Amino acid sequence: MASSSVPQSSDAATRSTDTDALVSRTSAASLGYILDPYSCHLLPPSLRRSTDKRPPLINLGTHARTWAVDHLVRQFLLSGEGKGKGKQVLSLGAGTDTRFWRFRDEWERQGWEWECRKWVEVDFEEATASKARSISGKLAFKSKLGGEVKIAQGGTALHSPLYSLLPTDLRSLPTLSSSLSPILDPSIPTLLLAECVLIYLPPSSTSDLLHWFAETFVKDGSAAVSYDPFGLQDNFGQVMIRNLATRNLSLPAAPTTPTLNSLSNRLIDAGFSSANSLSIAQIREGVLPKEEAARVAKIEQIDEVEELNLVLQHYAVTWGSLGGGEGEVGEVVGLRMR
Amino acid sequence: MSSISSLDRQIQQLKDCQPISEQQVKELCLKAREILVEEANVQWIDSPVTICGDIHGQFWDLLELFKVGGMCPDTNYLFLGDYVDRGFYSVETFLLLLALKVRYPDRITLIRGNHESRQITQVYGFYDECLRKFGSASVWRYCCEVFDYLSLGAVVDGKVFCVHGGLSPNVTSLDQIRLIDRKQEVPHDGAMCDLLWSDPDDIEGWGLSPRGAGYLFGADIVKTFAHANNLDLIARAHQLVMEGHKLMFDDLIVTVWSAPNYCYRCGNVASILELDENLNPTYRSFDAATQDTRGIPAKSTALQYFL
Repeated sequence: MASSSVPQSSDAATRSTDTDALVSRTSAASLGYILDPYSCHLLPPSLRRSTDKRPPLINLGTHARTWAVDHLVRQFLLSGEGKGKGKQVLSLGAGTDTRFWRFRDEWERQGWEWECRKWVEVDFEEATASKARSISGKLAFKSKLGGEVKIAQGGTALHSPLYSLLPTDLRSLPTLSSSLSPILDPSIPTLLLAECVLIYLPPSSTSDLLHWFAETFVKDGSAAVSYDPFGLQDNFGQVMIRNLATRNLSLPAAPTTPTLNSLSNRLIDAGFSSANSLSIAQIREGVLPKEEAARVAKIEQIDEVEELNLVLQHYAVTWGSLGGGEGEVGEVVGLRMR
Repeated sequence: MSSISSLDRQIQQLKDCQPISEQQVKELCLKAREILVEEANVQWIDSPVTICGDIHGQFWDLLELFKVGGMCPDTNYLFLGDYVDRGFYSVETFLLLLALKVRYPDRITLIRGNHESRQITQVYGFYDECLRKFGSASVWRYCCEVFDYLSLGAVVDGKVFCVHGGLSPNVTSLDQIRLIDRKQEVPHDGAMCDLLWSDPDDIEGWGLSPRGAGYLFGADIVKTFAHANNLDLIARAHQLVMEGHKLMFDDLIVTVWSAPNYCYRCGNVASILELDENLNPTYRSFDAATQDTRGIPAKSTALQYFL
């Protein structure tokens, strides 16, 4: 984990954001906002004994974002498309994400058949190396991978029947696509997942990635889900850009995503047949089931609703489908207002 | 005489953002309680007065406020609560205001906000800050005892009702507030809780608050209350307003927010409300101090985002 007290490269600063997200997930899980018994095992030793809880605002945001992305990924995995052929997930900049294991548990609890043939996570090699070590060293992680686990590429990659972890720089598409071609089958419905990743990429890299995905994978049943900050041209956004700069973090995509529409248009422009976005504030207000909203409202007292909404209005979940008809009817995944 | 000069030294020290000793805090809090116990639940104050909203431990921004509004005792101040939590200098902020209160009791009025509570300060930062700065919870305890003595509201020249949050379905007249036994922790419900937690909203009548405490109240409620109590204006704080202040319901209620760039993140301006001797209002806005950004560890602000 990179320490903020030491000057670090911009890439190192970007990698360190995953530790923030991990601590937030651990905090939200320990208080009961989300069910995630895995994140705490991925904390670096220096943070393992930390009793620091995130403020309620961060816990609520982590909950809403996790709920929404879970919902969309679950929809994709359970959708009728590609019956018999199975599904694939490609998670970009996955970092310490634990969704694969959380879903394996959920599928077991629900008695659903795991039809996802391959779940692939890619990230910087520093991130994949430490995740590969954690996964191969812990039975709780290892036992869900469907069989033999192989470490490769000097400890920076991991392969197993159901799950692969690959080191790559998302700014180098040729490397990414060639390392994925032996692992992913383009004829199988595939989900592209990018949680808080595209904001750190040059817009041209994102555009190349999305075009490549749209041109490579089967149209029927393939989809994309992303979670991104947006609308950072206002006062809140300018302060955010300034604050993050003190950590040597820059957000190259910020100027290209001023609105919700700009997020969904990014998918349409790359060749998706439909796409939509909702802010986390809208999702909390209108999509999150009432019972779930009431449950999390009881965990901690919210002191300031204006601030909560201000922050959550600057993050969005975007989803799109590659093909399969016009408008909402053809959507593989999607959130609906209540 | 010596106690005044010692108090003046403490005020000077606090103005430099240096905490005073635990023993000095204990004595200051005792003196403050002796003054506050004499004040009414709804303290009567005279114009002219400058009304300030939430500060939330943003010490350097409080100094900006004094630059814009004038220093106490040259300016007569009414603070609407929420001195502590969220910011990095709750200790220095609250103790400076308290020291000014003890030094100039008739020139500054401090009423209670929903954060002046044992329960809330343990979630939102003041408790942790006291532990960090003094090594024990004693200072937090002394301060919480003072919180219990703070007035619940104030009324300027009998015409402007000032409160941290808003109205309560259990309160139709100012006299009903005078009947509350306020010297206690903020309860989870009832009139005292509502005064500190409620918000005006574009609804009719009363509504459930998304904060989980207090109520939402509409224009009809405000008009009825103002009419029944012969009021020109209700001044309250409690809600972040990006422009610093916000008038609602035919200018019958105003929200005043005095924490610029709230939580070093929100990008808002702050404002204070000056009422002259004829109760004519002037809103003065101000931005965050530049020192504050220097006084904040970079890591802690970055942690307040989803990355």
